[in-house]
Amino acid sequence: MVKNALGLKLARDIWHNRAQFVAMILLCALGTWCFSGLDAFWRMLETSSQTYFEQQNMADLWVNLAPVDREALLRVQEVPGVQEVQARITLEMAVDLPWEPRVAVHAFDGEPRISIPLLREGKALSSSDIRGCLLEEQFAKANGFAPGDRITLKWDGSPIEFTIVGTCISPEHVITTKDVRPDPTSYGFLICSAAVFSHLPYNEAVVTLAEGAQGETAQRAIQALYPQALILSRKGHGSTSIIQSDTEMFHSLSYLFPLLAFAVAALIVLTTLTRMIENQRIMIGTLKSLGYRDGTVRRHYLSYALYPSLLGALLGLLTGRISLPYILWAAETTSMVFPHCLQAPISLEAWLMTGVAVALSLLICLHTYNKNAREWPAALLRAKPPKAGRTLLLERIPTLWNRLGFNGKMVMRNLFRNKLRTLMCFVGTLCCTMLLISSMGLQDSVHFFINRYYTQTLRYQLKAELDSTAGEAEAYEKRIQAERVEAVMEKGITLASDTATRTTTLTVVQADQQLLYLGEKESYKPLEDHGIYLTRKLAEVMGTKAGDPIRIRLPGDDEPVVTIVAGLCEVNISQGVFMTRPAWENWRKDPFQPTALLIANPTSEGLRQLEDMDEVAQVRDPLVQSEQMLTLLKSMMGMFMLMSAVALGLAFVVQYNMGILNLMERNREYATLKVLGYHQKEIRGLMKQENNLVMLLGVLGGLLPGRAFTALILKTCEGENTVFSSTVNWPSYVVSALVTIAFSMFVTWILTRKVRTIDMVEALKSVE
Amino acid sequence: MSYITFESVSKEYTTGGERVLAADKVSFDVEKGELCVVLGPSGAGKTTILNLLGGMDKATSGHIQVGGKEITRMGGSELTQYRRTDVGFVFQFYNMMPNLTALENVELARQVCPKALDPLEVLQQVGLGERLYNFPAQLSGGEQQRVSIARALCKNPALLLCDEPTGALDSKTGLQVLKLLCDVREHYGSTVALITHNEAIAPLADRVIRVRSGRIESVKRNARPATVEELSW
Repeated sequence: MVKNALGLKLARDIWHNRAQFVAMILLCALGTWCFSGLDAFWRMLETSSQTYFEQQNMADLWVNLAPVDREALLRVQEVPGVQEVQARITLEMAVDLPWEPRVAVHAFDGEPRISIPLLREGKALSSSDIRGCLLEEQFAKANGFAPGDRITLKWDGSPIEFTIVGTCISPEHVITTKDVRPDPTSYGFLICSAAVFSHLPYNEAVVTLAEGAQGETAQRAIQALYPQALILSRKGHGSTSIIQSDTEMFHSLSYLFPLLAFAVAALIVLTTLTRMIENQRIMIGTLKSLGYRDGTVRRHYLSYALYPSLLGALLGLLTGRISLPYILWAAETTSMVFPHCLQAPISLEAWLMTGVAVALSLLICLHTYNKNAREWPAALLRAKPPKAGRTLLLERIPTLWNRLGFNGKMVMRNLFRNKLRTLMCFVGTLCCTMLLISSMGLQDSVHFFINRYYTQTLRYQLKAELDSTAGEAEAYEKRIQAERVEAVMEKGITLASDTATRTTTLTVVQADQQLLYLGEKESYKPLEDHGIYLTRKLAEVMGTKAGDPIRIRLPGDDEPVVTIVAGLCEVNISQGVFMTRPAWENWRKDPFQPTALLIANPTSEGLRQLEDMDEVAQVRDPLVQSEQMLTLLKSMMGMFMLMSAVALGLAFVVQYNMGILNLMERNREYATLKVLGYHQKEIRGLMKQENNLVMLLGVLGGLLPGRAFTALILKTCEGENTVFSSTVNWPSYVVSALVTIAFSMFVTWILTRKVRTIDMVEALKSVE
Repeated sequence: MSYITFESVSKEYTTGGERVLAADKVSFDVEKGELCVVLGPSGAGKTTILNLLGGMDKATSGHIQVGGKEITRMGGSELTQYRRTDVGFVFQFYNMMPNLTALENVELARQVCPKALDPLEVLQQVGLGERLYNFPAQLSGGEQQRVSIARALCKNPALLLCDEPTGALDSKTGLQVLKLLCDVREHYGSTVALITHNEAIAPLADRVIRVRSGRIESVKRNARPATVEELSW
């Protein structure tokens, strides 16, 4: 019987205040939705990739060694921890097509046993088929190949023909790219038998490790056997490392955003429950006076927090993992290729977060209840005595205190009277400003660093990519009419230091190059003619600084060569290695073979000359590329809108709740003022002054955190291979501040309208 | 012409379908400078009369005239103006701003009234010269009531309305407050309307209006009003 009556009260109270409860449910849901979605996504990424790797027996180590002979295979096999070894030849070749795309060729010793490609169309490649090959699925589609077609590659000037037996994908090439974004029309991979290249030695051994083996130990052991070998682990391998860094990024984000969402939710739960329980004061006293035990009453009021938060948290948990991960997956798979999308079961962490959300709400409720209800029933039945006034610290400074008008003094006293409430309003406004600034700051930053890279760092208008028939660099200056023409040579290389091994791009520039700004803050800095330059982020990853030695291996090398890091460059977005042509020619005895021309301000004659040149494979415009990156930004607009909506919603709910509480507590006072002859306008003015002061402080307080939060988000999303500098333009600060202020004044306006309804007669009725 | 005239004033409330007549064709007069006591049991309608007199509520029918002004014809902001300048209220439960000191509470009145007196002087007159900077929580009931009176007086009102001013006080303190009200009336020359259910106060008045069930039962004039020292309850 007892339970039913209280239960009925609970149900009716909740229905009566349904707007508040729905808000609480939705906000608890928001926090867990964020976490559950992001958590499910990075686990989805991890599960899908790990399953893929396991099914296709993906390599753990890639050992670049020349030659990989029978003896080497045996010795590597014997290293403790090694499970399987297979030799292959990995080369990069051009395809005999007008636009000369390139492919990474993996020629296996027999049938692929490690990093087995997954067949998509056509037939599997049999080990006896010397002239057959498997071509990457996307590359085939982009370049118009189908199973049964022939494809001709150019190696060392001579053509080699293959018959495409089938199309495939490979776990080693989840992202097939030379830099950041895949472009199937210009780069792909091809699997064939090593018998085709019978005159070439194997130059790579792919290694799998046994379960539970220590990767680093094995790697070091193999390195000790072959000091000149360049060994890549999954961490250093291009495609795999991108998956790993994305997974880590979302893992970090899964803590960052939900934390904020939880803080917002906590604030709103606190204000809502405070208001509710203060309202129920007389109810609580009545229940106690009826003889209900303290524990029973407390449990009853805890249910006001328990049910909404439990419902909301579970709602968020379940909807999060069926919505967000798929949206993010769709975005990721525009550049990554997985055979399946596998979702991991709900993780322990997700359940924990749900529990935390509920526990947090309960704790807040308990705190509020204890603060308000731990009195004798008689005391509760009397209306809550208004808080006693106290002198403020501010009053000790007479010069300041006396400057405030009478109204000003009242406002200050009122603000400090209920510090918690004032603080909550302050924090609410601060968070709102911070979120708005971040939302705009992220857009500012992306525009900024994209623009900076494509116009500040890259000082040319066109980049003409040349094929292997390109002539001498010097000749091009005369052959193309433009303000300036510079040749560069780009090569994919492997860098190794004591702490890390990575693949990256080397760009060799002319002695007097001017079209790439590689100095501090993307200013111009001429490179010295010895040693190599690393971009700053890459140097951090490699654990090197200027003056340190570093090992570098170029394709076709037998062994890596040691050289000195001459200095660091500052480049946004993509990272890499730079050196001058004289440095290259001194260091290697290889000729400088231009792979691209950087052209500044070509005339229309110059453009025509470019078109006529056969060796020009492709012409890229940095501005077009920057626009493509910016359209990527547009797809994230939804997220920014969400952030802004949350910000404003938060500000509204917090201020409204606190405002209503103030009105209730001061009802008698406002009525007295009315009786004294204060016009409604004047009373509203007092309310406005109070709210506006707190609001202004909140806005000012949110400026720096907004900047910091923007930087934090960008840093989390950066990953290893890119640099995202953060910036917030002053209009963003201004707009965010103005929007917060305008919104806040809107809430104040709504609250002050209630002044009209203060009935003097009712409010001043004796308290009996 | 009398200072205050109630002419067949009625106040009707409709709460939940029920019609309640808080005041039923009430008519009476009060002269300038008089101390008028409105007497009656709980629920008789005394507070209603005070509220109407003070412009805090609107009559359903009838005319109220105060000092030549037709109250019943005034709109919301006119009434506020009326309360600002012409009326001072003393409540049963003081209604102090808990957040302001005694001096500041009285200052409140000065903020709205152009012809206000000096709050400091008024507080000294009510005997609270030593307690200017205390908050209401630090004052006793009697002291708070005195601040309330000072606040009402600060406006130098023509009409002083008191709603059970001694209701929350013990007899000794209550007498002190009544003495103060009488002194003040002499000093400032205001008309005072005091409502109470306490019969013992009646002898103090120049005019006693008895109210029952929303109707005037009787209006009597005291030829020789008593002094506070002669009272006891």
